[in-house]
Amino acid sequence: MRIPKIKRKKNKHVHHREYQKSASHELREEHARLTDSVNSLPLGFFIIDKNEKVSIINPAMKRILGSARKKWTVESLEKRLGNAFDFRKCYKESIKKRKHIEFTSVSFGNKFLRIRVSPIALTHGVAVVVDDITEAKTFERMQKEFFAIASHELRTPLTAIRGNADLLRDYFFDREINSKDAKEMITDMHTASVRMIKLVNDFLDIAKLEQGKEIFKKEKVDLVPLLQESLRVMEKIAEKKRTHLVFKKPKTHVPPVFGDRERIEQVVINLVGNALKFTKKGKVSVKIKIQKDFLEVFVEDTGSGIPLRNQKTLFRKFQQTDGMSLKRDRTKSSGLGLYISKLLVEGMGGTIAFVKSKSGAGSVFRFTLPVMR
Amino acid sequence: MIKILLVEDDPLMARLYEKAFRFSGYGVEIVFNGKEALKKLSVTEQQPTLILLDIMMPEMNGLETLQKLKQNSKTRNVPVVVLTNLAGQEDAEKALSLGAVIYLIKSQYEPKEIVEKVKEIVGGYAGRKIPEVKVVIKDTNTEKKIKKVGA
Repeated sequence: MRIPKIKRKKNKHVHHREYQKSASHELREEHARLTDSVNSLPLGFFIIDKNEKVSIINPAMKRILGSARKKWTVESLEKRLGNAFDFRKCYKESIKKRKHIEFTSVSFGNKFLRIRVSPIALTHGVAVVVDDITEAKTFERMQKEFFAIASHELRTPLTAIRGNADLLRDYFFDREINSKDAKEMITDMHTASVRMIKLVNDFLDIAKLEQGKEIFKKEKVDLVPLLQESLRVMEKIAEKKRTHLVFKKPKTHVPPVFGDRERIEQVVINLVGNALKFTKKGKVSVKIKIQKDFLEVFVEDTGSGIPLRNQKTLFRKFQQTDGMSLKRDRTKSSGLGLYISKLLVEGMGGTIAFVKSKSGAGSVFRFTLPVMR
Repeated sequence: MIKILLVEDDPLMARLYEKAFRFSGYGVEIVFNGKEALKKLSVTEQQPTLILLDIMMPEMNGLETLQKLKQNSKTRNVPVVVLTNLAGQEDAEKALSLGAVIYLIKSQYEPKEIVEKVKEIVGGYAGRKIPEVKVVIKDTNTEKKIKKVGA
């Protein structure tokens, strides 16, 4: 049977158009999926095509560049990156040599970036992946600084012990040292060894707490007698500083807290000790405020106050201040007490914070512990 | 009498080195940070023979102090020996580039050895014969020449 020619031609065209429509739709969907995936990447990503045009740039990359600009060109990228990175030279090299090029640490403003440039063989362009590693770099720098300071702090009392022993060995037996000097040297050796032991204990504490290896006792602790006893222990130091130590006992019943008694004492002694260090002929007061699920303990002094530039870094190890560590006043504190107190309080489910300070008018610190139900 | 100005904030260290130099017949004055050192040197007529300078100090650290000492015509020619427990190479190189004669790590020397090194430096300056001075940072008992400095 003969099939009419016209009908066959009509079907072929329809079939081809429908095929084109369907293929085009699929391509658009595929493109949308790819674009969506690229846009959701946490890393910065952009592509330079063979015509040196920026064909794709994702939101993460725009955030890294610090610009909400919608359309980017190679020129605008170069301008934005400035001296941080010779972008044009890099991508041209990648295309020419058909190799991946990586820069592990590029300084861009106040950020650090890892940049990887990869050639795209099919299109003769490059794909660039940019990772903001500022946080990791900052952490690395702080660890390095901490290590330098920690080594310094350990060496110093050791130097005092060894040095005084050397002088006694070299001069004492020939009676070239008077008894006043000898007494001072022996006292200094003792002071240095006590300082050394405290430092070593602090470091060991920090190591255990940071690794989560500290096991806190979970016991019922009455804060009122604990605070009274801790303040009694600090009385002698307060007397030397001619400073009053005051505990404002609440009038209502204070519920017990849940925590490790010894560690709570350590935190109180650290905070009160700090307050006394920075106060001369003043007052250090401790009070409790009762909240629904927790107790707040405030330690307030009338001392010299804390400079604004140090307030943000109080709870860091050695109160590092990004480069300010060479100016630390080590004679006042080891710089680890607040950091350890933070680890202890948080380990017991509480919080610790610096509340306020005014130069010449003192400071207030606060920690909380969960109430025992 | 040879006069040493010791710039050191830690009382334990200050007392140790004051004795070490005093037992060897030197006069020693102590100030507790860089600011105090600069203040003292600005008002004194006679400059010290040598300055022993710590790095880690409050108010003004040793490197800042060293920079100011070398910028001031009154104190520029007083030899400065950095005496510290900071053992970083960067710190040592910075101190030398700012004009320190030598960078010594306290924990690596007996007090008498520090006195000997100072004697050598002072002797060289007094006789107008500037010795070639090595910067030595001992690393696990191995001497490492960080930099040779001819003053």
